[in-house]
Amino acid sequence: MHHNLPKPSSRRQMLRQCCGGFGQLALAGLMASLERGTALAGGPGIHPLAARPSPVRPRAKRVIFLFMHGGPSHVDTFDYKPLLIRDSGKPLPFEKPRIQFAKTSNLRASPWAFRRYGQSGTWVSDLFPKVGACADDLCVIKSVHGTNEAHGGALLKLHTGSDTFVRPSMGSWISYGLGTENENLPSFITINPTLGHGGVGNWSSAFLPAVHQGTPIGGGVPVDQATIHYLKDPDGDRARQRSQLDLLSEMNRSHLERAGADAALEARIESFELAFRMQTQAPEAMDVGSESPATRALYGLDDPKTASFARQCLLARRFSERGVRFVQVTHGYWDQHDDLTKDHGRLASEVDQPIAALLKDLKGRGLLDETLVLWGGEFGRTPTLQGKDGRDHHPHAFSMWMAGGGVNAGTSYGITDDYGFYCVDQKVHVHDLHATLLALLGIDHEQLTFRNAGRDFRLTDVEGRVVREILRS
Amino acid sequence: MSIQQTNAACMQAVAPGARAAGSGFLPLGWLRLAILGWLSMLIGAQGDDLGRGAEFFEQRVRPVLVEHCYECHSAESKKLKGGLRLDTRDGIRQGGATRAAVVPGSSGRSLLMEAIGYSNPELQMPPKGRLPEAVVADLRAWIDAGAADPRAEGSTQTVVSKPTATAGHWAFQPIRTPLVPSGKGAANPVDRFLEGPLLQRGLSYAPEAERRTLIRRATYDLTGLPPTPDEIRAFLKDATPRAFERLVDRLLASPGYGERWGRWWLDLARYADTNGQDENKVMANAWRYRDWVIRSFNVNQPFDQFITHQLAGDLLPTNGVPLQEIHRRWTATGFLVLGPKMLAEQDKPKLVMDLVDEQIDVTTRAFLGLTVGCARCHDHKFEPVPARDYYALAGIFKSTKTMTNLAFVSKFNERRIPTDEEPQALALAVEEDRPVDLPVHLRGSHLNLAKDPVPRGFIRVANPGSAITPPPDRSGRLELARWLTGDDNPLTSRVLVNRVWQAHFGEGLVRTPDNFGLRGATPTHPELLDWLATEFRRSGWDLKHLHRLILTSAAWRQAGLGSLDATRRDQGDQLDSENRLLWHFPRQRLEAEMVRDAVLAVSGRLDATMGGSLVNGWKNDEYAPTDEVSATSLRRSVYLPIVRDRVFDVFTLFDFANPSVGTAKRTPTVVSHQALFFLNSPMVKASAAALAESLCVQPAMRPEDRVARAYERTFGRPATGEETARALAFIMRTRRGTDPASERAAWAAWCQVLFAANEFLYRE
Repeated sequence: MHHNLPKPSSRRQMLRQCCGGFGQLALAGLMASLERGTALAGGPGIHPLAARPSPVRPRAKRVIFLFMHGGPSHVDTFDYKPLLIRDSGKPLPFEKPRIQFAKTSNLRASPWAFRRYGQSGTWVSDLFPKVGACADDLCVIKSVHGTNEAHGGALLKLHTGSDTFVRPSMGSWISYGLGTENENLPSFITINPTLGHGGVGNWSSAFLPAVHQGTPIGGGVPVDQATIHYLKDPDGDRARQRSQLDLLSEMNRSHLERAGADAALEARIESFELAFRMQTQAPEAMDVGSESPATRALYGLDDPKTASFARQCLLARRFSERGVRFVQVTHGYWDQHDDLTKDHGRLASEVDQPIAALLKDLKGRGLLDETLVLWGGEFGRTPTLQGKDGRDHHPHAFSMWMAGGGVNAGTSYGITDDYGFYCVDQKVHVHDLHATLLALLGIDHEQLTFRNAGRDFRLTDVEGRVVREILRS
Repeated sequence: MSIQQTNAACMQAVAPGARAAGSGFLPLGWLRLAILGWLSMLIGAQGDDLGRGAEFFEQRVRPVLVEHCYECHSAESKKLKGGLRLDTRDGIRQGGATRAAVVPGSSGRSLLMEAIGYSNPELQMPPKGRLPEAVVADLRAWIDAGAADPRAEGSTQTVVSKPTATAGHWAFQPIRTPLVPSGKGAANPVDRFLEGPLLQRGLSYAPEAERRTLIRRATYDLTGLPPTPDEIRAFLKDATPRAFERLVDRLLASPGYGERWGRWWLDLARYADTNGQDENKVMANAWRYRDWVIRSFNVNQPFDQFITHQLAGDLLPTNGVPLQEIHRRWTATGFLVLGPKMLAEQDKPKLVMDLVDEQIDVTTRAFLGLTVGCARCHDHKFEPVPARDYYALAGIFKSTKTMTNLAFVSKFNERRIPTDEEPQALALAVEEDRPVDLPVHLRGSHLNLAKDPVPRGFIRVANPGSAITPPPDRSGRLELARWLTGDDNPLTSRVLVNRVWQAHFGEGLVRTPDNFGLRGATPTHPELLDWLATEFRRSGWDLKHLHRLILTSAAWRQAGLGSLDATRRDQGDQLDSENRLLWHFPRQRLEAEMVRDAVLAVSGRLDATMGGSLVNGWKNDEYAPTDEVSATSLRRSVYLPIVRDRVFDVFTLFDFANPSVGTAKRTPTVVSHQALFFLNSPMVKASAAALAESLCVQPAMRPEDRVARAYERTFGRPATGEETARALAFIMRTRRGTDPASERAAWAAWCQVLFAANEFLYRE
């Protein structure tokens, strides 16, 4: 009855209790649904992950980030440099940066040939023939630059925008800004994340409410064993668990009567029902066994070389399909200080087919338009040689690409110098990348704020330029 | 490193209109040609044709300065950046903190040209984007032609920001000693302060809570554990008038007190056993700091000493002090070493300044309730903290040795504290380094230094009258501690009593515990805050005295919302929906450690051993291993290793403090993942099985007695008839057979429900 419903003020209290407060954007959406009176304990109106409309027209609804941990070399993949071939073995004709991770010697041509693909004529090296075949879906950004030459700092910078302070991950910001489309699954999932180089810091919600923290699946275990923590009842007696939940619900409801209306207590009652459903929905989402033979073949799920990353890409598609807002997939370890030819070759052969399959699969299902796929590492590698056959860390210019989700497909953006050492024009700092990512999702990066310790924080801090040129008009 | 990287702590420095302004400005080719022609005439005139030069200035230079520069570099600037004024002739020629912005006749030597040329990554102006080439060319030509500047001689004064404008802020005022209001009956001064505002609004306290509620509340509050059935019985039987006071005294004297309240401090000290950040190296001796904290709380070390030892334990006189105590003081300084550090940062001077920044952050937040980090790059936008004060403080920490070396992967500092039992014992600790004064780092960059070093010192606004200054021959840490704990410091004791209040009531008297600045909340009861701060200092910074004072108040002993009828509740909701005036005791969820410790305690599995390292297998400086200790250990949570960036699941789930930053307040969340934990975690299952085992150990025991016993242990109360019936029905329904194993499995399933219940997870 009416008087049993908590008053709006206490619902606001509840928002604070459950979610730790909201920034203006997120709060506006929530309050709007409160006003509409949809809010009952655990209902869509007050769930901290309730889907929230983008204030601006979104081009993409969700993100899949294919993170190549270690730093794939841009001059061996997507940034074709004929002069690097011509001048291979000669010294770099201009100054190297003040801070370098380690010493490198002279220019070194790519061991791989480049060729043009598709109607766009995009240059892609022979490391990525199958991704190359999707060139007309890609928007390659060749002028990404960061600020940190060590893995840890560069990972944190790329994921959180800061290599100095503890800040929320971009996935957490997006979850905070947009909520989830499926309350039975987490809104931000990171598959096979790295535990080093910032570890959880790369998917942490920091000062944002904990519900926006990335849910790790795997990491340190083989991908086919990866799962969500505590998802499975070790006893596997579902009927008994149902009885437990029924008893719990009765006990909690009598407790609530004695305690007086309290939205947090009510939300907690509902959280057990959600958890119960999650136990069936999440394993279903993670069950790639139900995929057709054609799909298995497309991804390379049965080829030992590609099986692991194929599984991750399939999981990413399955989560995206089910409304998970931000899925990150991690692959590594692209850190070739030596043995570049062998190891970049091996690593690329593990991911080339699954990535191409993911793009085709999303497209075939009509999901690519609303799903932004982002590919890249924490930095690139030096166009100059390290050791006998290696390249060093290189945050000063590197390539990432986007596909789907409202980007200008079949184009590239940004120019590096003749050797791919520094960005020359149309530079895209990591902050700019974040601003653009949010813009694609319909979020103004200057408006998505959260107040903490006396001031409003943003993913892009005081920086960030939306690279409008790559947005499809 | 670019400016962007260090200039992180500020928001929207430039007005929205400023960003697009560069593009539309005089780009037309013919016009440019015309100007060039005109300029060559000017240059030909050797600048003595001031009239025409002035005209050029008015038409081509001044508009650019006004549009792109004055916001930050003029008399109208809200905050003058870099001490530079471009709105007077003297200002532009004299320059700001570094050197002349304009050297007439030499664009090459003019800093202005370097800034707008965007060639120096550390200095790029305007910050929002490069000016069009044509405009840059105009300015270059103007300077080379003599920089004719018709502006009046004007003021040569460079505005230096002072913390005066906002010095009236309540938190910076000296602490007063308010008289305790006279009141009817209330014996505890705390109540005298609280009752007035309540009565004024037509509200009053809820009735005193039942004894069972009180002992559960007090035991969790002071020890982090639930009361045992025996403890409850003893308290219920105690008919003496001071039964509750005795309960509080017993709890304060129990070792659990230090474990619970020590952990409360560890949140603020961002305690962890590994470095985190880029190189998550083990700090295998951090636990000694943790054990020192727990011990300090248990022996009730005066809190001013507790502060002093952490900042400057190595600098105190040692005459006649036992070696063990000297070692303890060194261990206390681990506070400054514990922070996350970018060990593989290759820009080592930056690493050092980041480290200093972290020390400033944790110190000012923990003790002063101020965030001063913004002042690393510029005068604080919201708080009266100029960059000079930041660098005065930074000098103190720069004069302190925190790192043993700055190798490729740098190494934090430790000191040997050998004992007979542990001849190799080490503790994280700082030592004195060569004293140095630092200049302001413009925009936070060590590559961009102001002219003069700032003498070491403190945050002036937080205690302007203090006569304490760091001596020339030492870092000044000891003086910093003296300044913080001095009777005239208006913040330290206020901030601290507020934190303690918050821990007891869920919210502080100031609801922004780590922000007592201008943007923070104002106190709900300013006189009470000041009275508590005064009383706290009067008592010799006696924390246990403060607890006693608060817990024995009627405010703390009142019942929760459930005790009030609908009318009272509605009235309270309308008049004070946030319960600022405390018309009932607020319900609080158990904190992460309490959740785990309570499950273990109730099931009889908790190992109460105190102290020592659980990271024995981990070697110093190795990469943090996967934490397998926490999953199997039965020790109290405070002793589990804290691996930064990989905090133990149960802790993260229940909103544990992020151990990489000092945390003043944990925010309880309700998420379904917590429910999964209660449904499926091996820890909960094993504990439920252990509890069931203890219930079933006597086969002859009646089922309803088992229910009663379990209720006493988990909820601290007997079960009602209805609850017993429900429980027995559940056992009947879920029992899969009649054998003892099936019986126990059914009881275990039931016990698991008790752990999952709201009543278990919240304290009233």
